[in-house]
Amino acid sequence: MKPKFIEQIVKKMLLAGTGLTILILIFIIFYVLKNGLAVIDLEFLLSSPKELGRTGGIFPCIIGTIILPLVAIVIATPLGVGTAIYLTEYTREGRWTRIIRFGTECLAGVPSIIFGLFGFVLFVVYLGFGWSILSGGLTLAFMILPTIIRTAEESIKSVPFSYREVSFSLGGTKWQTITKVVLPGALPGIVTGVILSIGKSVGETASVIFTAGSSLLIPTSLFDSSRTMAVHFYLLAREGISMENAYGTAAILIIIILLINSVAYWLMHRFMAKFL
Amino acid sequence: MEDKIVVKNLNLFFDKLCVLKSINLNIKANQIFSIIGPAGSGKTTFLRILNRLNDLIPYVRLEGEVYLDDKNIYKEDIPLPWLRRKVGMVFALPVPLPGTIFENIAYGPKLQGMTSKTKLSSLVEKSLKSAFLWDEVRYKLDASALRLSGGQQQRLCIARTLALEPEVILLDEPCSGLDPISTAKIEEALHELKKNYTIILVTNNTKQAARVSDNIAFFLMGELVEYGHVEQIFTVPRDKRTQDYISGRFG
Repeated sequence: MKPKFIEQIVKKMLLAGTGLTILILIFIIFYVLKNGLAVIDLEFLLSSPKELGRTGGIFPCIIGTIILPLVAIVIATPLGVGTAIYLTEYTREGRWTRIIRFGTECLAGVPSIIFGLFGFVLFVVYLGFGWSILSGGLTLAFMILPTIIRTAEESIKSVPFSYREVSFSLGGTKWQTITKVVLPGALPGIVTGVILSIGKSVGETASVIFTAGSSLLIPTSLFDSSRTMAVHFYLLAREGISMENAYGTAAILIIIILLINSVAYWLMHRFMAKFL
Repeated sequence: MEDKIVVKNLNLFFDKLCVLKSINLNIKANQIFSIIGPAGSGKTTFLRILNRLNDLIPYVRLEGEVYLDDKNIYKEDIPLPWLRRKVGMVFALPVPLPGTIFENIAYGPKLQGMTSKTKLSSLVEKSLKSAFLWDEVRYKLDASALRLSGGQQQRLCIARTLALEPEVILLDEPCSGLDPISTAKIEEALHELKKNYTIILVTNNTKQAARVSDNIAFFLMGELVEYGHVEQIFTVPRDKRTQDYISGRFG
């Protein structure tokens, strides 16, 4: 075959693949919105579920969906970014860093249901936190830790070494160099990792059912059980309680994830603009 | 004039490879001391010894003594930020930090805890003037430093170093990427600066060394072949290798 012919085929195939990906995305969003938007009104957003969710709204689940990932992010971000800083700036590349990196990689591969079981045994039972936002948040934090560590590490590494040299040559200490030059440069990458993690924890069900429970009450403290929208959707659909409300929940879930991503990217670009 | 920097029996190794061999050198205050020599002679490495920037590289080992004003800078208790403020450095490629022109110049002083806006402003102005950049940027101090031209960026880097109020300035081929006009501006700045600072200049450009220097050292393959006053080096070099190099008959 002539190279030119191959070139054309490859181009068409790549285009088709890209098109298919976008089509699937559009189809999912369209399908969920079409089935869900019908039940969504202010009442649905702001009232509590009645009859296990057959009627009524999803207000407590919205609260749960905001609080639980928030707890996870607040715990996992400093821990993960700290680990990444330690691995890149304070250790020399060697056997230990490779072992730690391999460990985090393995952690990323563990199925979420196993995390759920671990969280249940450690936080819910052994530490006595019960089914609670705290247990669920901690479990989610461990789940998203590998993502945060890896993305933070990569973006810290991508900050040019010459910036560090300049900072040191201007009398900067190591910590000053990290906080004033390295972290600002790495921030877009770190934020991307955090956004990915928010998405992951907002959509998580298996480990959350095990650790945060599925209470339909509005939580008032970190030790209260709470139900996220993903869990609510799962239970409504799985138990055949109400498909309409399940789709309504799913639609709001998708809208919230889109909102989170947009706001995060907007913040990131605003920050980047300062730098260019 | 007294000696600002004294280097005694200096050897430097990259792992087991000896990069600089038994260097002995005295550098006087308030002059431009140039280091010339072909690529790979250890010029840059030598420069980075004087502000201990080689310490960032884990496999570098150093023997011998380096004195700044009779103080051995390789003694244990020397605080590196203190040393690097006294011995400022300008790199071969200009590296503006992401941020505005003002922020770049104020970076060093801010690290030392200078927060007063008026103090910082006057220091930034003074530094930019000394680096011959003030007239070009005075109305856009809040513009990104990355938008400056190459020559302006390099003068920004010089101003940033001056803002540390150092005593010694190390320049590592500061004109290697610049056009003749930018180069002339930097040389003009250097000429003014030597009144207040000791300047050590690494350059690949023998003519530049002849133009600006008071004293010149010739490095070759990690050895200091000879050093002396610029006229002596260019008219009656003691070593044949020096003569070959400066007359372009090398290799």
